Amino acid sequence: MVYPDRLLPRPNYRLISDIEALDSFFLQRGTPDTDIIDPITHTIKPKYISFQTGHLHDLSTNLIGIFLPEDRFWRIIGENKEYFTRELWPVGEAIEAPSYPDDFEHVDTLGAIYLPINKLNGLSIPYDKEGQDGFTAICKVLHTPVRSNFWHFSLRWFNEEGDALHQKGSWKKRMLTSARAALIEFGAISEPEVQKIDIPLYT
Amino acid sequence: MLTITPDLPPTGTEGLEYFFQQSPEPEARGELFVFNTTEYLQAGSFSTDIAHQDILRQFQRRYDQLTLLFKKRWEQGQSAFSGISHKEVFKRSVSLAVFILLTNPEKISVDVTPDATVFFTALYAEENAYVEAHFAPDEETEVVFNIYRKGVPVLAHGGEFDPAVNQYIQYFAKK
Repeated sequence: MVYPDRLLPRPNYRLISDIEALDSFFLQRGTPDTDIIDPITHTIKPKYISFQTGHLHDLSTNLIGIFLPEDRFWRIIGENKEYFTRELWPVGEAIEAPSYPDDFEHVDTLGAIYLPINKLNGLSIPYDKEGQDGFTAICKVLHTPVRSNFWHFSLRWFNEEGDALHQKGSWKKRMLTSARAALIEFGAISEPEVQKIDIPLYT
Repeated sequence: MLTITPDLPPTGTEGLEYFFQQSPEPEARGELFVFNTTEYLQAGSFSTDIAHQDILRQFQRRYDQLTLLFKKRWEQGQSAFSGISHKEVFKRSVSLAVFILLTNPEKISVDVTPDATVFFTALYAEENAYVEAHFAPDEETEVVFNIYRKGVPVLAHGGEFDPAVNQYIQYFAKK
């Protein structure tokens, strides 16, 4: 079994900073199975939206385009999992493909949620200002490639003090709820149309 | 929205106390009842007006369905609540269920997440509301909610339980 070469970063690739150019694209969020929809509300079950543990601590997604919906079935495992999936790819570094069976497996029972970038990037959540901590939380879509997947993107939440990930207690809770709420509000399980990504965006 | 009157069934907290009094090992059994309709009806503490009774029965039915779902999800997800008082989780979750139901959502569901939270999704005619109670060992329970109106976030709040619930109820009471 061979890991798809098109998912790997290449030394001539660069970070995609122009997220607005991807407005019509969708992000895919993998889920442990396909039982994603709550039968009562017909919305996504909240427990399927959880933050990464480990180094990145954010909401991990894949940009659908060169990364295809079925690419979620490639799952990195083993001793090199940290290296391939939890450390960011140092831009310019040449990568050796994960090898089978030590580094990856193919699990075709995983589910997925699809998220429109134009709904999430810049989404502003107005926390009430009558309390002592009035502020707005803003969602940003960031390109955060890892060694096994150049098309890895993260959802992060920012306030006036910066990235909420680096702030204490209550902010993380607000961020978690806002992320879950936004993904339930805008997420869908139907596969979006796969669009072509302009090469100059990332080379 | 349902009018909050003195003759509505007891609140979640009172009901939970009732339950704990009746059950030798409630937390171990994971059972949950906020109020007992039969006993409540027999107590005669509510209006005999038929329409009013219908409203109460409807409320009770929705409440029973929601708590049954909570119980099911709790059984699947309680391992995430290590070191957290189950009594606190039940008490807060039951209270939230009651308060959200009082705002009369068209649909409501609940989930127990791997992050030691209980998450309610409440869908109204024009709004979708997401309410999450965050639990942690030795920390005050916090409630965070986000309300969307036709896909646009219109109100969000995070903080202690009572002020958060107040804000939530006030938003829907004004409508």
